[in-house]
Amino acid sequence: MDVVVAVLKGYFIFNIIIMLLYAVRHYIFSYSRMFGKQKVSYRDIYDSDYPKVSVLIPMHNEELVLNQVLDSLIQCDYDRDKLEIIGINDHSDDKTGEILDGYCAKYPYIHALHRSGEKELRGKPAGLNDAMEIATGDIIIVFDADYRPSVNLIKKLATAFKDPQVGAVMGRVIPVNANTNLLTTLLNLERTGGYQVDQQARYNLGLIPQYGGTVGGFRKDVILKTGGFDTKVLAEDTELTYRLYTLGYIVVYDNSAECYEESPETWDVRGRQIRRWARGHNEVLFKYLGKTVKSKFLSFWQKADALFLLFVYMIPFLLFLSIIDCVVLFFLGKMNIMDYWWVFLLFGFYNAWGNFAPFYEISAGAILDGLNKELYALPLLSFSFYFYMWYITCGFLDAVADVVTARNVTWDKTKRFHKENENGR
Amino acid sequence: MIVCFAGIVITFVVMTMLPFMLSLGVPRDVEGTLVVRSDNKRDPRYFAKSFRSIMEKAFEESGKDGILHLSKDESYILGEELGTHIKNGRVDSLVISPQNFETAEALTFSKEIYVRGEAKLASGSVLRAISAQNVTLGVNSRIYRWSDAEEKMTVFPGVKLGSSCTSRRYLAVSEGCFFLKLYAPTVEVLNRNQVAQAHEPEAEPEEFMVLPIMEDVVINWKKVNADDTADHSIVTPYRLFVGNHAVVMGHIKSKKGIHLGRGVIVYGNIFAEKAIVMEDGCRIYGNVFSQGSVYVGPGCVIGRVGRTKSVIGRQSVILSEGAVVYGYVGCEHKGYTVESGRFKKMIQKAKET
Repeated sequence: MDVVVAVLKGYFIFNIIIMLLYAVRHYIFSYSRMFGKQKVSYRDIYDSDYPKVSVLIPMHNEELVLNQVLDSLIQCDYDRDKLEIIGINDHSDDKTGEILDGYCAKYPYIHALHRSGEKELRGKPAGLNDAMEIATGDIIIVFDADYRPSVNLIKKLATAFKDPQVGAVMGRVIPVNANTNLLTTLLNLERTGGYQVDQQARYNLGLIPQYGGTVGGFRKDVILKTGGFDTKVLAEDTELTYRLYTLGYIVVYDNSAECYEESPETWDVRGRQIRRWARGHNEVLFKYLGKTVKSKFLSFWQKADALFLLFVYMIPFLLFLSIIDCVVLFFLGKMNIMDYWWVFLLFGFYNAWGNFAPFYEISAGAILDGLNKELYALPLLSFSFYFYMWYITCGFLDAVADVVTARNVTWDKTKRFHKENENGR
Repeated sequence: MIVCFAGIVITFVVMTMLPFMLSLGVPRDVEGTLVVRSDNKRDPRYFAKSFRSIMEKAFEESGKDGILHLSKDESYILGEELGTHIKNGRVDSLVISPQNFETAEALTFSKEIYVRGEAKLASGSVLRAISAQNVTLGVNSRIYRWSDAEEKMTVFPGVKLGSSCTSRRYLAVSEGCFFLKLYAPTVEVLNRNQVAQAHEPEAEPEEFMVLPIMEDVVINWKKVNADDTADHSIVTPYRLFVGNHAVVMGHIKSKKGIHLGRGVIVYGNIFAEKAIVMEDGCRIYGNVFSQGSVYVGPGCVIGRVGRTKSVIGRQSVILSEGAVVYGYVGCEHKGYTVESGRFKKMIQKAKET
């Protein structure tokens, strides 16, 4: 019994250490963003020569939102001779294909890729792979169908590729439906912390800004030469980030390259989305853990940050286990909460709450963005953490099953809630 | 024991609420969704163009009643009436001149100056902003905001240029001037004797414009030897030294600094996390971008006629006499122009340390 108790307590202490490490990381990021040197963004470059860009838009039953992304892109200020837009109609059974064909007939630089074969692999990575085969651009920029890129967004993103080391660029995502309900308010806060602070701080500190799969771009030849996207990985964006870093490229973040997205408006949809992200992210963890540690291109601090980032969707699972651990210790009568190290547990837990967008980062982001009423919802993130912990734990177990069974993964599309708001956004 | 437990709980609650409480103490004004300016196009002359268009519109609509009907009514004086509105060397109204405008003495203008013709400001002038067809800023003048010329901007020594100095065609800056942003199709740094006769250079032959930029990357180089040609791009974690008269046919990226010797030619862009130093006569056809400072030596030419390129340093950009940039120069802290002899001393000192 003593051995069991020792193991349980040891696991507990292990969790505390992990949490404290993440807490320190989050403090550093918040401090960097609030008081540290901010790196100049590549967007400051004025240049009359831009690369040929192919904008890819994966679509699966997007008839509700398809118009807004295409109408926005038609307004962009990128030279039409250097721009093509490819809508990837991936096995839609609504009017997506029809609407897309209508745009193609009207605008010569818009093309459609209809994927409807029964034997064809479905999902975003497979669709992107097929589209890259026909894309003529050197740079691929990806938008989801519910996004609304601003006039100069493509220029901002494409400018980063003037740096020969840049493999991918990531812009900032802003929820368009931030004040719809409590969930979207909380998601807005998470996005603020995640982009305004976390991503920008990682860029400032020369660590690992993450390519997010949309409102971003990458070099086509690098991805094609290394076999295209892995269709067995759901988080093709995270996979691309690690692939690029382990090849010697970097990802840069541009906080000014802002684009609206639609956040999930129901907890059920958000739960399934976060479970899919956790599953995909952990698949990348299993695939890239060794490569990251051994990479000759990453500095010590980059490796440390890369590992923190890789494990970020595993930590809630570890916390879930630690809660069970806690209950077991309590019923064994070994849980003396007056032990001094509990202070550190509480401290660590608190600072890691929300895990990828903790409180200090979010409040720093809210200050920088000037968010007003949303801020009052900040303490409520304590509760959404438990919600995330459950779904991320499920996602982690999904990923473990994926690796063990080598099964094909299926793409679970996030439900759209499209309605024009009063500002027409 | 109870005190200890209570202390832990209070600490926990306080820590939970602390970021929230801290945030509440900072001014915030965004309600709901953040606004993304979907129609925002980047333009280094944005303020000047906007000002010019407002002025022209207001001037036409307002007639000559001495009031411009802007978002609020704004009194103005005509340039020709300037003499009667000077009080203790100050002019407190907006100045508008349908023709040329010239000052004979150092005056302080607390509001903007808009001139449809040519504007010449005497040495020691102080002003908020100016827009004219051609602008000449006298020695040791000071601008708090911006200055813009539709044709030619001439800046004499020692001028503090505020946040931006731009021209639609040509910008000639003398030594000892301070700036944050410069923009013109041609930006030239000249000495005090040359600046008065400065004129827009002629375009290069079109066939010279096409350069075979090599995108293949070679990593981890520390040096390109003098007179060598690197027929590829270079990405390195080290400080890179490019020897005199070497040619790099691709781009350069260093995680540290980059030093280009005399007469180096680079076909592509140059990026560095620390300082980029160019000695005399370098020819860079792409952009120059540093998270540190950029030193552009005498006779260096960046970009080419008819194409816009940028020189950006997060810290400073130091332009030596004789440097030419076709496009944009920007920095966050302090940019300045220096006489070539002083520039060489700076580089020598940097080498020694």
